[in-house]
Amino acid sequence: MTSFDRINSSSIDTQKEINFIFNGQKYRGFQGDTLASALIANGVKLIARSFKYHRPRGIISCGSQEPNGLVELIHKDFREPNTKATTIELYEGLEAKSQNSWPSLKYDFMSLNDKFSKFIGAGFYYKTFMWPASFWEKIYEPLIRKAAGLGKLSYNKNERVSEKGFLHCDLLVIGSGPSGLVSAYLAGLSGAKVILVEEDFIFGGNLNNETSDDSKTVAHKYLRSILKDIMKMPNVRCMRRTCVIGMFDHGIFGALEKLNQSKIDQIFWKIKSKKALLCTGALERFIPFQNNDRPGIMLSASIRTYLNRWGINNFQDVLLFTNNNDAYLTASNLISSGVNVVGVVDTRDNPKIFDSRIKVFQGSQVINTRGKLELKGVDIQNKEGKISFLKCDILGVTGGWNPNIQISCHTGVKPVWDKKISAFIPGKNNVSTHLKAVGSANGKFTLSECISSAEKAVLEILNDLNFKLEKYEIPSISPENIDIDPFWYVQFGSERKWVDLQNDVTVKDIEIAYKENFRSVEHLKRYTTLGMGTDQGKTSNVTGLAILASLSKKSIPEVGTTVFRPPYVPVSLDTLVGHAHGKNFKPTRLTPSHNWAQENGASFTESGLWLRAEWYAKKNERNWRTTVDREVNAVRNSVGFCDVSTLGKIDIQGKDALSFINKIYCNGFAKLPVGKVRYGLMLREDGLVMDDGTTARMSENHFIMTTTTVNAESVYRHLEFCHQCLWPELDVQLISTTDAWAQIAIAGPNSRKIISKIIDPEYDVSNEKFPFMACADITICKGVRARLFRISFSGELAYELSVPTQYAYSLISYLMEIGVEENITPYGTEALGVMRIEKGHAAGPELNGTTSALNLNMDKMVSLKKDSIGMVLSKREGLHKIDAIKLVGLKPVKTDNQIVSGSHIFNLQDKIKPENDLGYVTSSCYSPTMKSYIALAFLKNGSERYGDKVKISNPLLKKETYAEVCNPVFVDPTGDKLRD
Amino acid sequence: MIKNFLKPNLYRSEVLMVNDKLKLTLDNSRNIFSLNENKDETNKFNRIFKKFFGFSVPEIAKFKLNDNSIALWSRTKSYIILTDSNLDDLTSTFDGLASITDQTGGWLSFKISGKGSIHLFEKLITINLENFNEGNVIRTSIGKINCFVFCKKKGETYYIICPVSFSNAMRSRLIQLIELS
Repeated sequence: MTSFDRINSSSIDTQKEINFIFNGQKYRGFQGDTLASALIANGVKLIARSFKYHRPRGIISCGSQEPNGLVELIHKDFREPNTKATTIELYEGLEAKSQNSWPSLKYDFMSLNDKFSKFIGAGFYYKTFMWPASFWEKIYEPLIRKAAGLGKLSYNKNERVSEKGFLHCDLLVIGSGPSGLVSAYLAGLSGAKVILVEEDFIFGGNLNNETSDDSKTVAHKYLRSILKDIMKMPNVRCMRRTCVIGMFDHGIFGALEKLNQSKIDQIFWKIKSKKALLCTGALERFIPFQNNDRPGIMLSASIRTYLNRWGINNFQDVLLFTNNNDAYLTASNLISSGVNVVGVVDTRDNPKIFDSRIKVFQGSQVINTRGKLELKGVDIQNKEGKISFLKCDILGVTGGWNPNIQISCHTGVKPVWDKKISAFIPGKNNVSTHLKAVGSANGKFTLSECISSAEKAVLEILNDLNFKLEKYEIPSISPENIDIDPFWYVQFGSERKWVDLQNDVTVKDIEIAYKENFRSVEHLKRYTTLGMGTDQGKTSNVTGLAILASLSKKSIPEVGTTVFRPPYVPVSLDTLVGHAHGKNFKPTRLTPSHNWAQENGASFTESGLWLRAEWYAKKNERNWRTTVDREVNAVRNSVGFCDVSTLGKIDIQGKDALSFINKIYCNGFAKLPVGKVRYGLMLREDGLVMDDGTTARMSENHFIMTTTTVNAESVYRHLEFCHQCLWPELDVQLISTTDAWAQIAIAGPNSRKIISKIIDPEYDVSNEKFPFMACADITICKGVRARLFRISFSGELAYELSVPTQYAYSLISYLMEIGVEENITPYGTEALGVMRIEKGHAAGPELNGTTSALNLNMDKMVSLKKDSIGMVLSKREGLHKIDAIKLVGLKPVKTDNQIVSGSHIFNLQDKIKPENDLGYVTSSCYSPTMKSYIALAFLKNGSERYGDKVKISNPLLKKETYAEVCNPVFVDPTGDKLRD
Repeated sequence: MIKNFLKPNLYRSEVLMVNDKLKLTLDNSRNIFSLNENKDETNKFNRIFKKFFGFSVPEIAKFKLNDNSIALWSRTKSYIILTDSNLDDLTSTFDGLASITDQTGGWLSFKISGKGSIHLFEKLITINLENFNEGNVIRTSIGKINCFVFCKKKGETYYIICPVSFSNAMRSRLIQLIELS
């Protein structure tokens, strides 16, 4: 374990040591460090291997723009690949390892790729791996997949706790550098509700990266003091470790907050703001030159940040390469802290000299570097062409600054070119009125400009939002000079010059792309993969455009930009999922009988969101079929009960309720008497079947409609739409009562006996007094309110008994008690399904959204005497073809041959081809009543083909069965049992 | 001997969870009804409503309450009532003026109280809690569960009413979040 002493820094706490591990070796850092700063402080330069060529790489920046320093974080149970070392807040016990190297970072076998770089330049895979074709799936693709990509997953469960949340504010300030602080402060003073977000774990932005020299002391003092004030304002919410990852429509921003010392690890916030200010600063540009990727080559301002913020001065000999004044600030700071600065190589002929301690190589360029696993020195060339070698271990490069504008482009606004600063700034005609850029994000690079632009923008916004700002003070700050001479890349030399460090894209790659006619910026991006890495081209995009512009002899704005899309930084999928995974993916609905079913050994199945009892296995039953067969036989021979509460129940009340229902269903309801239930078929506007159910008339103006389980919500929504939009004049009220009533189906020849035992004596359920399709409000068990419907899904004599939900458990327990003599049997959805198939009742697989009343053999139900939803289009020619598919039954020729749902039907003599397809199987089961497998199916001309033999093909399992077409009502086709 | 009566399994009022910032209570002490005004009966309906409940009909997105009843506006001319009164009382009072539908047992009510309420609801619902004041009610969804949320005291006391079939899921979600807070 090694470390270096730090110079004075307010951002780290040298009293709090933190131990961490990198590539198996132990190191020491301090609270306030990032992984990158701690590694640099420990003298670690080699951090990673590059994506394609496996070249040795080190840290070049100090923020989320980092292209090289991708590591794998090793948590207790899972791994987090592709994490930027520059953004990882150091914590005790952190363990990380570098990626993309084997067997070690120093001796990486795949660095051989670099020797073959001539053959694997940009787009090489479009020109290779073509022959032979058979090799592609078996050899080429697996090899490329193995070699490509960064990081590995652990495949263990991710225990990180992620949540989501929603916030609202008047003003969202993105970034807490100088312009962000001034914005939040002034807005906070006015009383506006402000959210200040900062990606870093400390507020202040660039304030933390600079020293306060004489010219800036006043400003820095002011900014530090208003930061303290902001933290105390109750109307300003300060969120650090929070990165705005995208701007969306209507002023909505997505922001990812990482929490420290909390049970929740991260929250993904959707922030709805009336206005927003982009105060994200600017990102430093790199300059491509030969071998500009060696460990030890960094961005100049980042060196300054490591020095000033993290107190790191363990650099030996630092050289700087620049085209603007900023590098001189780095040089001054380094010299003042005792670091040897070899000099500043300045591309400009007559740069202003800021500090006499600095040696300046004016009108010169760095043309090459030396060293392998770390920088040893550089070659520079002056304007006379003289080349000399300078020994250094750190080279700081600065090619200028790019305003960090990505978020402003997320809603499609194109950035515009600012010639003065040779960079893009947010588009002036921003169609979104929500977001304004200020400070460096808008190309104002000096501190005085940052503060004044923020003040101006905030005052405009407060005026728009009707907030008044009374008194405030901003000290006057002397203006500074930004002097930049555009310089995009060093042309000297034929060796590779890196543009995009993360994706290993060089100047040569851009030239090749241009030669091969990929000249649009979008083609260039995709052909070379420039800017397509996790850094999203933050250090490479503009340079790449400049090179393309130079090749195509256009200006940079003419070349244009690619599109910036969210997320601003990579976001792991668990962030977007939040807590909604595993059992929490969707809520589960429990039936009123759930507890009873659980206590009595039910197996459950999902039916939409519901958990329903599938069957009730007894101890001696070998498999589910045995159980289901028993349940079916019990119902057919005696009596059983099933919880059917999941069916939608809608109370329809009011003077015009009958008229309303008559318009909803395609069959006639106008003459439905009180005390009767009718089957209803509901069509969509296009004439196809939407749902079916029953509607009972409980009293003159009170009806109860049932729907299928799955369509309960959609039918209710449909009814509401019809009432509110189509017929608002009708006096009708719609109330969903699905949860208020438990509904138990009691079915079988002995069902009347059971009902008679529980209804109160004043009610008569004899066949004469309560015939098939009757309904009534009743009481049971000495006064408990209930509703009784004589309807049957099973085809047996049956009733459906409704009680208020809270009585369900008690009712079912009671049914079991009183039904002992009749051997009453609870049955689940599987037995329910078998019986309805035996009875030929259509359900979900038949009402699949593509079928018409004709297909279901219900065409005669569609009343042409009245208007109803779907009636008109149900008459269209396409739904009345002569050979239309019709619902039929299928019985396998060999009774033990299973017919599988989804199989397709063919004539015996026809080949299994799409053009010979006659229909498909919708539902199938083993029928203990028929002692055979049976099925329901749609078959062309089905009703004319009873008795025909057909071929059933299941191409997925490569199986064929032969079956006979028959009436879909297998059991009691005349319906005698129903009316018994 | 076979029992000849049924016992209702009404969830009792109980404290489900409590910590220094939040308290979650199942508050199920009242009957619940949907009250839907018939067409063209507004004046008479409003009069009878005030007389019966002791407060006037709540405005859009508002609720009103007294010691016996809470009335939530749920949509145009439609209210959810939580009350000590029974179905017969309501039916006889509003006969011809409104439809009454008994929903007791079909909905469950959760009470959330404590200074951590706002931070909890930030992770549950999308609305601007700053403007969600005492007396406001919204129909919304929490974890894909359709429910009503109303504010009894801003920043301190809120109620969630959801269908009983979702109550387990709602309860789990609320407890999970409170444990994490």
